[in-house]
Amino acid sequence: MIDVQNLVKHYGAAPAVKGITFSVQPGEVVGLLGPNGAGKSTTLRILTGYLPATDGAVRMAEIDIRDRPLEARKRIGYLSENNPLYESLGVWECLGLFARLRGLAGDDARRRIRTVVEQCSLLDVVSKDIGQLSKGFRQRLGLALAILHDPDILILDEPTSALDPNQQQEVRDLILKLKEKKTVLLSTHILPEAQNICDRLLIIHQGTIVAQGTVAELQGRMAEGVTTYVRLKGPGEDILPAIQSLPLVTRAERMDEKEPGCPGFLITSAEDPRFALFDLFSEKRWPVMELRPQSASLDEIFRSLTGANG
Amino acid sequence: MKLSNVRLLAKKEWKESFNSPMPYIFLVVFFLLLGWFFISSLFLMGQATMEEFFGPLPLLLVFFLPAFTMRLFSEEYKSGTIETLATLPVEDMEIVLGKYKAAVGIWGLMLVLSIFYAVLLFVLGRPDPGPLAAGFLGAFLLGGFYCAAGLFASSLTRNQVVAFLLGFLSCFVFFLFGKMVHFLPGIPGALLAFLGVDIHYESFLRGVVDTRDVLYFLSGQVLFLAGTLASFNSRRWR
Repeated sequence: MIDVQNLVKHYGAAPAVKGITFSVQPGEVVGLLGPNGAGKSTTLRILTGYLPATDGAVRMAEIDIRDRPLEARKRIGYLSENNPLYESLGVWECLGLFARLRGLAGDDARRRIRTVVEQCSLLDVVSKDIGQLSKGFRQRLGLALAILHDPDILILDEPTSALDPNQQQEVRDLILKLKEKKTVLLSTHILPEAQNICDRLLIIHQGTIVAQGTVAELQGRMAEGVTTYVRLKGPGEDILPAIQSLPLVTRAERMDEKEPGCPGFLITSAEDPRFALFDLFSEKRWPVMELRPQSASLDEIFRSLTGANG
Repeated sequence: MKLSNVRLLAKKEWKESFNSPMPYIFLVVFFLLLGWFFISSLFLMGQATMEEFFGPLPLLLVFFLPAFTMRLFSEEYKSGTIETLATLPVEDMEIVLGKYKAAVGIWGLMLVLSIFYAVLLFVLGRPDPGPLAAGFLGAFLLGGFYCAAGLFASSLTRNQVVAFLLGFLSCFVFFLFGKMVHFLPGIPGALLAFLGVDIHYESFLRGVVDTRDVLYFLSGQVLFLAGTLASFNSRRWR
């Protein structure tokens, strides 16, 4: 479990993290989202013990990282941003070295190395030098090094950045496989990824957590009412005033026209308008081509909370 | 502190170093140069000593050892591997000592290889074993001192060329101090001479192993290693 209380980090006089508090439970994948310079990597570096916090408390697997940093580090697997690796070492050599530095030796070390080689599909490249590996294999090796000692906690700083879509999917599958037994905290820029693999999101902006919760919770918090998308076959100029005349509709606007003669409308209302809409459209004999509730996308939530312009 | 971690980290540095051409070039040039000094003394002057081998070391190593130590921290800073290393369950001191051990190990290997020259002397003549053994000890301590200075320089920057220049300057200053005695009279000259490597190293070449000289080299290494540790730790308070 990760428990962070009122974490503060200053670089000189400049604050990078301004008192953030959160926790991650075992078996949970939590995504740390935020624009560049929001304080994500600084937070992760403090959690892994690379940087000290200016103030606040961090407990990793029930261990205070300030009191027993080495003990805490033994329980953490870390994939840092850009996944730096020792280029001139061989893959097997590097795994062996890290296993021994992690306190594994003899048969235990060999068994764990074989397990992670299999889990991360590294069998084809174990005899190569790291410098010869493709980006996908490098990322898998980074993950293999992070899970080599079977840690309770995995901290992954942008684990799929700079990978092609297939490689991204492979890494995501691996994280989902690992999730069952571990506490995973990852930072990412890729919003669909956060949506697909994270149980919960923390949105960080200018060193503070501006929102946290599941994607559905964040969407619920964003909505000012119920938004519904509808597409009909009929005269657009008559449809819009008819929708606007419904008492529960607060706003309606004409959207795209995917098929000729079938305009789309986005309707905001105080409550679910689908029954009222159905009655209206059947009365007017306008066939409904599409009708669905529309929620804010993660992208919209992110931009709204972090004040980005697009 | 776990010595097994220091050993493992030193091994990592050795593997990384010997996977690049640098140490091989380093060894070949070093032995060609010192081999020439040694052979000219042995065959041209007919002296069965290693003075001509040990004599130029304080100046030669000013170039050679910072060239080896420059990458030890700088490369890790530049590539970002330092973050991977510093988040392993190893202490900062173990990382510093591992790198130092690797550097001193390379220098030790060079000295072990140069025992060949000593063996040659015993085959061809009757050298005095005292100055020879003391010379090897002095050379080892001098190299350790320069390695520590080079490592400190490497811990200050992510640029290897800057690390080399800083390492070179740190070593060269201690080399120059020893020469100041000829230009600066009185106490300042004597003080600088004491700080310089020359008078301490020359005792070994005469076959004298004085604890004060041993302490000079050892305390210099400890100071530079403490500086390296502080510099590496500075990420924590910057």
